[in-house]
Amino acid sequence: MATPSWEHLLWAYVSNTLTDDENRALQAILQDNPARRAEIAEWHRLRAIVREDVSARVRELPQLPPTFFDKLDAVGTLPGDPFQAIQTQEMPRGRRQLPPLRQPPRTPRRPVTLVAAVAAMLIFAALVIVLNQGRQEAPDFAQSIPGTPTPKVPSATPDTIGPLIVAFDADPFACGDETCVQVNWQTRDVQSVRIESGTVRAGVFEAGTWFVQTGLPPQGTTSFEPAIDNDAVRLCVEQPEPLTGPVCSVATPLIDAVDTPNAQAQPQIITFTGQAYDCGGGSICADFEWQTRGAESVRVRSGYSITGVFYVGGTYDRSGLPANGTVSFVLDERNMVAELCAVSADQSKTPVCEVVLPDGAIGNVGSGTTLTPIPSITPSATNTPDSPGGIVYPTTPTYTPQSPPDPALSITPSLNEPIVPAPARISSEARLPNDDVGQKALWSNDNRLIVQGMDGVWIYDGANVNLQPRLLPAPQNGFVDTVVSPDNRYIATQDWDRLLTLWDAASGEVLGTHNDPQLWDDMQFTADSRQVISRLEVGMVSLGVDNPGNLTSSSLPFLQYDHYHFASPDGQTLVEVGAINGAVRMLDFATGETRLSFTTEPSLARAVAFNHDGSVLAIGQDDGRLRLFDTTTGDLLNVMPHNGRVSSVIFNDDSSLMAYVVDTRPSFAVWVWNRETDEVYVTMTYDLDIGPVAFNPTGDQLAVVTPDSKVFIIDLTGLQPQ
Amino acid sequence: MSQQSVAPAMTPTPDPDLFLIRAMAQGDKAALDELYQRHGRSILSYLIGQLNDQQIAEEVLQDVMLAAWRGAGGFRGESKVKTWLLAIARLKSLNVIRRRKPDGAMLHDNIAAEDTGLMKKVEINADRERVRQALTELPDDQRETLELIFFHDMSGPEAARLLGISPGTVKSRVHRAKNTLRGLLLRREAE
Repeated sequence: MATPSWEHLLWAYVSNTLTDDENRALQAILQDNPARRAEIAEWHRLRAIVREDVSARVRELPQLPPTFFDKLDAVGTLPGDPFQAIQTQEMPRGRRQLPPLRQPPRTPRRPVTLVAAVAAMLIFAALVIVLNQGRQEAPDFAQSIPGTPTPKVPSATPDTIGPLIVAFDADPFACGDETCVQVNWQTRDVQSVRIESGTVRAGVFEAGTWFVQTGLPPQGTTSFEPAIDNDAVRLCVEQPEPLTGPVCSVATPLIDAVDTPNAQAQPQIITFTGQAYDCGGGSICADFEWQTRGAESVRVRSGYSITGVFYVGGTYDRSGLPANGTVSFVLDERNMVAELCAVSADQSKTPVCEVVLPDGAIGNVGSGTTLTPIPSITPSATNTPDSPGGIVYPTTPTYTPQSPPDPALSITPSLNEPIVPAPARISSEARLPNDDVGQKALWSNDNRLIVQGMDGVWIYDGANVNLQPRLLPAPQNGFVDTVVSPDNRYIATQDWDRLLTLWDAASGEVLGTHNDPQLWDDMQFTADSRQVISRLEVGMVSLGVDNPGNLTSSSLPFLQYDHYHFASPDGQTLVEVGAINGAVRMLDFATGETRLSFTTEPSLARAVAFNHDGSVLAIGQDDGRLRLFDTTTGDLLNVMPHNGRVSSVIFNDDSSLMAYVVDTRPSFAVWVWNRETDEVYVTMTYDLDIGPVAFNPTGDQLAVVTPDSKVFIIDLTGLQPQ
Repeated sequence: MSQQSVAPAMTPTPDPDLFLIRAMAQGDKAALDELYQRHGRSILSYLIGQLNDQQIAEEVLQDVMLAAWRGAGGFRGESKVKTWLLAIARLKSLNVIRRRKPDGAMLHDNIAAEDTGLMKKVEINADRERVRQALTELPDDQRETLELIFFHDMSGPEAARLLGISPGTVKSRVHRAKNTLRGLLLRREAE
């Protein structure tokens, strides 16, 4: 097996995924290379400083106040049995069907008894004390890498400090008809250890849920029967903070037992990364680097990817490249990603492929070039990487839309970066009174411009923002969020003391308040103006039927906490977007029944909006893309790539325009997409945070508020259909 | 091998926090308190890093625990319990951040740094305080990624999932964070 590269080993060390084999390879490098030792020492020290720094933030965990436990009764719990769900979905009790072991099963070691363990610890502690008397000041980082599998007795050297995994091995043995694993470990200078089972994929340990033991003694033996999908064991040291030194080591007893020594292994892609850069002449290039295991050669092709399917672009296509290496090519709109296929010497094995988008490409690609939209593409059955019998890609993509999109939408998938200056201008500018900090803009259907600031909610005449605004005052810490009802009658605010206040939008009178144990942050009125939902909580506050000030809250138990929630314009549908898994569900608002599920990229989505008729869902994500989905099919309609997170999005009244804010700190930009021309324009950039923007009722003006008290009105008449 | 010679297998145990989540779903407040004792400090450290305000972080921590209490019944075990708590904490803190007065100082990502020996120099001088100060000046995304890997012991893929980015981006952020620190320290050296 080829020795992993230095970069791979270094990253495995840094990111807590170092395996035993990698650890041995790393130690071998460090033995003979002072420069590498210095490099790893830098990371080691940085880790220690970060741990020390973060630990120092919390001297003592504050106790939860009694009032908190009172809140628990008030909010109750949502129905469900997580344990049952996890057992059936995540923790299959089926047994691994392993082929016979190639070596005679070893006699399992007996677990250490308590007395033996204590005695061993005392001897060990004495040994450590004696050895540490000769400790040098500077740590030898080469020696302090964890996971040294042998010898079986502590081999402390005087020049080592910090936690150290002296020995760690995991051996399979037969237990009845099944295969169990026995784990043996010896550590030094640690308080306790944690052992968990999991899986190694592409060289990375992924913790399972079947076997976890914490607080185990510094040395000992244990055994367990692994879950069917667990083939690795990880040992991590636990130590009073600050913790210095390497912390984990991984063994793969079952992989080793089946595939000794990886002769039968499928080729693996260990790392595959890309980095874009300006290579002059208006071109953007990218370097791609890969490391594979068990591959005879690799093939690299350039192309583009839509909804996870790779399409050949044509700029670069090379076979027979080495198992580890780098290539470069020029990016354009058809060659934005690279596909790597690791090919085994064994022709019967299917190549393993991976596609990567180079870091830094989005936002750069096309900035100096003319790009043409990519036509809509329907993936065929043969061009998916997991097709049986190998991978077949069409050399020329075929464009056969199964169902033409609604002509009213006029949306064609495109990856075009804006290159046209926006035919827009700032038509008026106002200043918030008292130098207030502008946080959010709203524009009611009856033409009131509503600005949330730290002092409260400022209500302007939308026809003339230079007139003095009226204030709905906030408590000292300001409002968390402000929303205006679609029927223009109510404004709802939420403050940091969890008080939801319903205001009469016309008179400014407080109609009612609701104090809830939960923070009703990121609110939205439902279409009928009768309820307020929270995008982060899993409930809603209803306005009284006869008395709008009689606010009551209720649960929406079908929603999940680690998701964002949004209601459709017709009030019939709730969409739930997974914060970290990219899962999107369209739910019946009344019953919670799932109407449609699809996925976007697994990147945090905090900007979501429906178009005016609810047929298109815009999702702005932290990966810098704003994606448009068809809400009847879940099809991806369009992607607008940027080089910063999309922080808010909104459609105008007829959805002819869509505005969104891109956070490219230190600057922010307001973009507008024209549905008819499928062009995207930057209408404004600013060096301070721009909160959610708002269209006026006729959709030809956009309000932007900034923290330095500015209120900008942008005239978009040049963008509207003529 | 006879079964008698086999060491008694420990009862396979799932993530020990799962039992707490189940108990919480059934209304056991003590389980919530135990979960808080196990992970409260870690989550609070994360929140302080995100919010840079101890008092607000403690308030948000209570919101996180309240959300965990309510949502325990719907926990699907797609991640470790601690990762789930961190995900809720992240959402809560991001929502707070977007509504707060912006900080004055915002840093560019790409502070050039060529002197690879500076970290070494700092290490020799044991000048941790300056590094610690520089850590506070890291761009938020770099500092957060660094903390997830180095403090919360997440692997690259785990951190990628929580942050909603690719493992390659985690890697580049960590490397950029180190380069940014170098740049910050170099700048201090020059001043």
